[in-house]
Amino acid sequence: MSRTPVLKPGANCWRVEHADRVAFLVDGADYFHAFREAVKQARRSVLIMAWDIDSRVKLVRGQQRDPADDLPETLGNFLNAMVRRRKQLNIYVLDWDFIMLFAPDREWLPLYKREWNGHRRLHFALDDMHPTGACHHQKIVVVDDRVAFVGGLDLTLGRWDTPEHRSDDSIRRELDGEPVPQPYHDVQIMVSGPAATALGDLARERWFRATGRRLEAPWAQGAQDGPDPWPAHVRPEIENVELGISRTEPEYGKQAEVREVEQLLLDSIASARESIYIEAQYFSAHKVGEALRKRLQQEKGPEVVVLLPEYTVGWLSQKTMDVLRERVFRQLMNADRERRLRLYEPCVPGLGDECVNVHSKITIIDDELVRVGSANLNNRSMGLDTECDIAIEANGREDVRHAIATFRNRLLGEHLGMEPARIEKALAREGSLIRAIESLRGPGRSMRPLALQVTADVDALVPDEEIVDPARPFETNELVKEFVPEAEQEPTRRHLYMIGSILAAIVALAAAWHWSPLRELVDVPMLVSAANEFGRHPAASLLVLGVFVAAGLISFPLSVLIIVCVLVFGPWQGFLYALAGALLSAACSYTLGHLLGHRAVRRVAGRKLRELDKRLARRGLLTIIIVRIVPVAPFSVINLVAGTSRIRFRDFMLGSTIGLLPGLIVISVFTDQLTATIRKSDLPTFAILAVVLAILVAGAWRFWQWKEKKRDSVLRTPSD
Amino acid sequence: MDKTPLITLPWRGQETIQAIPQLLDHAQQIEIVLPDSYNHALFTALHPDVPPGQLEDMNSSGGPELLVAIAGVEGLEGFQQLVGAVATANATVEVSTPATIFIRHNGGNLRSTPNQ
Repeated sequence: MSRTPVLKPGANCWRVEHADRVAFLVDGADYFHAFREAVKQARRSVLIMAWDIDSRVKLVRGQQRDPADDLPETLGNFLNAMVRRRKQLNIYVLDWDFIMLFAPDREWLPLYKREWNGHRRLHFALDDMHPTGACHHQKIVVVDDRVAFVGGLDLTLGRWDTPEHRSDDSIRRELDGEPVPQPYHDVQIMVSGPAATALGDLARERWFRATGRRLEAPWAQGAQDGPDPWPAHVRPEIENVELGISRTEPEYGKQAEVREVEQLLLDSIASARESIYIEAQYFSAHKVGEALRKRLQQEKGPEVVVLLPEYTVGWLSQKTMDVLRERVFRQLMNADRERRLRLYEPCVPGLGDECVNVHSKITIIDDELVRVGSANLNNRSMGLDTECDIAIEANGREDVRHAIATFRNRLLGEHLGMEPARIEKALAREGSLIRAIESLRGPGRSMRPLALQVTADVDALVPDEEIVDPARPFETNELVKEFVPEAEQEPTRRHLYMIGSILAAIVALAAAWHWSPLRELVDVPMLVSAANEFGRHPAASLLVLGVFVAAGLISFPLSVLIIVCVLVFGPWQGFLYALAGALLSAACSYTLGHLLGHRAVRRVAGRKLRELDKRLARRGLLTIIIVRIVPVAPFSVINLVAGTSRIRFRDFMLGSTIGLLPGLIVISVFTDQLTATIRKSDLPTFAILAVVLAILVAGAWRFWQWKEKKRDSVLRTPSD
Repeated sequence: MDKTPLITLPWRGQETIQAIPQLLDHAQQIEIVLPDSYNHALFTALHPDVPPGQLEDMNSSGGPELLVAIAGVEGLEGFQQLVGAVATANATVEVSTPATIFIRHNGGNLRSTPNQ
């Protein structure tokens, strides 16, 4: 029975292009080696698009070292040596302008490192042209537009590994004195011919968007005259085939949203007849999960085999993405009436508490279609982050079918610790992917069923995927709306007025201090001395805490108390007192709300209570964090309502601590600077203060205007 | 004689081009299915003002002059030869994604006619 082609340009792929040669590079050792060999032949241009890159990473190690090769082993030195050696070669590195959350794991301040800025033809740029919360996740390398690499591997630390994934492999160690990193499994695809040129177009467009500079294609400079950059040691697995290039790009500025990867996944899952084999780091894309669920519900549908890491890297990911993936697993298991679903993790003896970090992003449909790329099976890879995948389908060609099957068997052979030929035999014998794997599983290096680990308590703590794993860019007002009832958002204007008034009053006081007789009437050293005296008093801390509690009960503005605290005790001590006081006040008001109960608090909070209460019950911790960060309601009202809701005290206090910190830090720093300005008391410092205040007021005003405009547009939409 | 509602031709280069003038007399619509790899080149030729990197979903229609634009794509130069025949037949040209060219006589309903 003939099959309808899956790849459709303009729908599930950007372009279908011809590739002279294709090879699958499994694991970092092979990719880094092939990358180095290809770049050694580059004449005009090397384009590197990265989520992360590190100049210190060693490209060849152990037996891959060639004594005759005098080029440096580390990436940064190697690239510099190449531009020095080839007078017409330009190397362009575009790295995601990462957020500070990732800073500890990355090369620090790359823009200022000699390895990245030491040669005029080695161009390094950071790319921050993406919506808030998104990242550039594409991993593309293009050499002279003749050879290109796409996949899940970045040229950075912790990626180099061999298919053995040995627990004690010291060659994996990146830097002297550092521990051996976790085993890392990933795949890159290497292509040559017009497909590489198309990927060059994609990379140059990214470079233009990030830097404003258009790059000339190397063809125009005669790159085709140089030697073939395809590494001589890599045997092509497919020759002369059409492949699809699929992308994800979020809506950003004038750039329209592109969701080709998502459509490709949905179309390819729908096309499966016998089996779907997936390797993935994450597994939370709800549309993909839904597509798989439908296939599992069908009678005699395809088998679904998924290989994932036992757990993802980092506590945050484990507490969020691993929870989301288990939600998808449960849905799939419920739909799997014919036992056609298997979830596995690689098992490598000697790893102890560690696991193999399965980082590959692969889908193989029957022997017909293979997808390799950067897109994870999570929602953000479908519409928020930039991604690039390559898909190849057989379209009736037996050699391509054979290559796809061989690639899958090679992967399974790696995970099961045996030669691919045994997989092939088992498949032929069993006539089923699942039965073949089950017949070959055993002790030692193998695949074992993935155990569900998330408890109901942990699951309840994690909010819906829209927050943890958004499918498209979100706007801050939508985030607020998600957690805070509309009615609770009304006091924003009043709150901003109040903050503005307090700041204006402080500045008026400072002005009066400078230009009025007040300066002579009040003795500054005396005031400072009195404040210090009070600060040293044994009961000062208790008194401060008591004031916070009392102020909370009468709904006195918290901001004023924080300012006073910093003025009296200085920035550090004042900050700590304010934090302790605010939390104690919050705890007392919470307890009061709890004791008074719904009915009594309803009289205070009115109709707002029900909606806020609903959100607190659903997403307690995050709701508390958001309402503490965004000025949406009086501090005490939030505490009382929380006390009557079903949110646990522990979550309430934790959320309050996290949510109060940003505001406390800002107010403490501002107040400290303000007092410094008053003490110095000359015109330039006062002018600086006035400018700072003007910025603050203008910012608050713009925020209010923006918020009103958003609200108007939302209200207008239904009638348009 | 009634005309065939739709004739679908796979792309075989000059062979396909040479077949079209005769078929214009016998069919209401002719569909020429190009390899998918032409989608990008056609999109770029027909939508030169669209910034690179957009979703390449084509929907262009016009007269024989559209064939001139199509003939600007490397490998599709042969479409230039059809300009006269299409003009004489008073036919229209439509290009859609993925890489498909329709030539139809005015009055033919392209979308509602099932493929043969």
